[in-house]
Amino acid sequence: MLFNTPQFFVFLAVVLTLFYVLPRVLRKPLLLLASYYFYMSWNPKFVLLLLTLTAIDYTAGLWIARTEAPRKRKLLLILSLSANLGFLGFFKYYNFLTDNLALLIGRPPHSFFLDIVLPLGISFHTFQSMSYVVDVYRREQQPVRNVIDYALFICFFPQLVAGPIVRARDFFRDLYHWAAPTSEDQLRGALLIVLGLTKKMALADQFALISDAYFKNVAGQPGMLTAWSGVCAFGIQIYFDFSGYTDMAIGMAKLLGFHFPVNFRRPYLAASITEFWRRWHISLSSWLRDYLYISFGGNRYGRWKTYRNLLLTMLLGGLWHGASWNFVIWGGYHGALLSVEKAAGVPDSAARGWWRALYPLRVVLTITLAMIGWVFFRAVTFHDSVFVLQQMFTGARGKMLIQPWQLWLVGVSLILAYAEEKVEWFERLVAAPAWAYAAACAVMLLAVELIGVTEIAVPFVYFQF
Amino acid sequence: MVGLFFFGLEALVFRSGLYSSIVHPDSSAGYVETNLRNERIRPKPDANQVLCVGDSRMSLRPKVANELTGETGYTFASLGLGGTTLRCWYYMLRDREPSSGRYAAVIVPLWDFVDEDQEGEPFNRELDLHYVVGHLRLTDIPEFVGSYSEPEVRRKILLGSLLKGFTYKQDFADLLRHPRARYKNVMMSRRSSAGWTYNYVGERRTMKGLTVDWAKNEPHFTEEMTQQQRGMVRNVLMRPLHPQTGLERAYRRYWLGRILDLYRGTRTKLILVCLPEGPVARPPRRPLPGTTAASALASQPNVIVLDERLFDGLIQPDLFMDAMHLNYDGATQFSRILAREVRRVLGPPRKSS
Repeated sequence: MLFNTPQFFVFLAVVLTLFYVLPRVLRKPLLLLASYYFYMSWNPKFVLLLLTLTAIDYTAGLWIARTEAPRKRKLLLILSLSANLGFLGFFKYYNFLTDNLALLIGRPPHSFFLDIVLPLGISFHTFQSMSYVVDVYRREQQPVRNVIDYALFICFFPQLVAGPIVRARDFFRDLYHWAAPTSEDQLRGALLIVLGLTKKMALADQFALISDAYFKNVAGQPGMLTAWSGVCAFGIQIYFDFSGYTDMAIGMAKLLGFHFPVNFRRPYLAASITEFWRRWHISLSSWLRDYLYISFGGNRYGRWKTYRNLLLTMLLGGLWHGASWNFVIWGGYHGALLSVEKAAGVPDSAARGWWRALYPLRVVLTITLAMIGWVFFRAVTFHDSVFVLQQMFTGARGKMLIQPWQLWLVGVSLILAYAEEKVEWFERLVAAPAWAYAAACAVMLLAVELIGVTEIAVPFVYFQF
Repeated sequence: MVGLFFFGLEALVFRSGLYSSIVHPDSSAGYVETNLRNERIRPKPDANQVLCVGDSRMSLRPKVANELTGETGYTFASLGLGGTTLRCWYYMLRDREPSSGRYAAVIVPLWDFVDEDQEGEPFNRELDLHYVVGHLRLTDIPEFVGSYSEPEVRRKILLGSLLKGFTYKQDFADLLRHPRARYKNVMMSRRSSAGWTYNYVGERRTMKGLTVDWAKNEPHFTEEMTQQQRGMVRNVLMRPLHPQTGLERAYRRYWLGRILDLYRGTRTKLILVCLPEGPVARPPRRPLPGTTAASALASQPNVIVLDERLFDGLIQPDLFMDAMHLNYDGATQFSRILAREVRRVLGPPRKSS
């Protein structure tokens, strides 16, 4: 049940109706049941995995909080993390690790291959669950006593499959002090859903058609312009796809009285890669910062160790995205860029003076660097990545894969993004007269109707992670 | 309120005629728009106009038929369009002012009068929506959607007729890709399409030399015949007899009835014509028991069913360009025969007042 299908909207309408009609005491069980139903609509058997991890981390949280002895606390933490990482490792990395092992010991590539189906959303819910246990261990979070509350935290359907990764303190603050959404929040929620749907269907899916066709057979489509336009199409696709999904998730949560953190803040307007990561998939980058980078020592042990920590964090962040060397390289590439920027003292877009004057150039440079990174992220093999990079920098002219009207779409989107940065039109729209709000939604829905890819439901990119 | 604005915006674009005016002239919807516009603006000085509908097999060439106007007293025009069906013709005719009294007759062709069921279920033809989308009103939706029988097709048709943007999606994508070319095409079509259509008299290719040994079910081609011509003979002329379910009859009775409804109480006659079936005659088929659609309609006032064998003389390889379509000579003869027959059955034309 993808967010961009009629079935999902029927499901959402039923859940919202029941949520507002039922007495308050029944709302949590309703959301829990709806969330499990949503999850089981993909693959019912994996709900057992979800229940197992929920039980392990719920119990671990309680035990850790009850235990005073530091060694025992640490042991419980390790057990919980091992369970999460064990499941994640098996389902997501088993074949990758064994393929590499086979290579090392001189066996054929798929000697230990297992036909494993990746459970939906496992990367997200394990990270969310692990952060809860770590927070309890660090005494930054009270353990959750009610198992329904904890289960809902793990499987809440708006963010179960692709985030945003919600911190326990934020989720339980909303859950324990639940207040009916204000009319403004309802307007925000509905607008976010419409905006997200527009981003996904009218924009991301358009560019998905181009990038999918290009990366399916890169060798058959040589040329510099071809490569750049194919890669840029993916860069545009993944942004609108993932931020569209996130908008919808945040919007749905708002309609249910939950306030998820912002996950994207116009990353392609960033003036550096460091700033890019403060604007891109914020819930993951802040998770990596809080639970990896800081755990490695952060910037507390000198310059070189800071760079090492950045590199390590991003390498693992890359690996989180998928079991392939390409993702590791992508992570390493970003880690290296972050280290270089740190060493050079590159400021963000708020900088004044000369830096301010250079802002447009810096944005172009940042986008270019990000696009180069996407090559590794999207290419099917390392060999393809190298080929695409070669074409981008040394290829013959090639042909433009993005059509002029699609460039207009990107231009309008950039203007809207810049306007949001400067005048926050989204919030203004929420506060605007009803006709203006309705007209904006109507225009977006018309865009979905006219240019949205509706013949097939294109899956969200991050659903595969 | 969002819904209201959305439907309002949708209606403004797709139900006001705004989008129809820029739809690609070479698309299904565009052909219908062009034909109807040309017919709307065609001068109709008297009430002796005869309008025909039909698909690509309808070979009435108005130019040829109108060369006989001095003799017949009637002026012929055609809304015939390849790929259209009875259901489309109903909506096309509905928008040609059936109660205006301008038309002495409307000619509706049928491929046969035995209601032979062919491949594909006539009720569930999704393409019909793409032809008539510009002319579907909100009040048409229940009947139009209800005329499809498969639930999945109905769902698609409901969506596409309620929110026309879904139906125009490909056309809109083409408009975005080539806005200048679209403008040029639309303008050129407005200027010249009426003349092109009127002056088109058909192709000169023939099927000369084609014979079919029906006992062995074997066609004999000449060397000049193209693969396409040969393929059509095998697929169309020599098509196997599909299970006779009566669906074609039910479909015809329903939509012919609806077309007739348009002209009830008017002076316009509905003329049913059986088209020549191909370059060689097929073995006779036994009709399903019961009353055929044409016979059922024949008993209605205002309906004239022309002799089923009127065009049998045109069933000759020399007069066909392929297995289905009359060529230049065939269409010319067809038009003359039809014009004279219409004059015979309608009687003398009305005097201009």
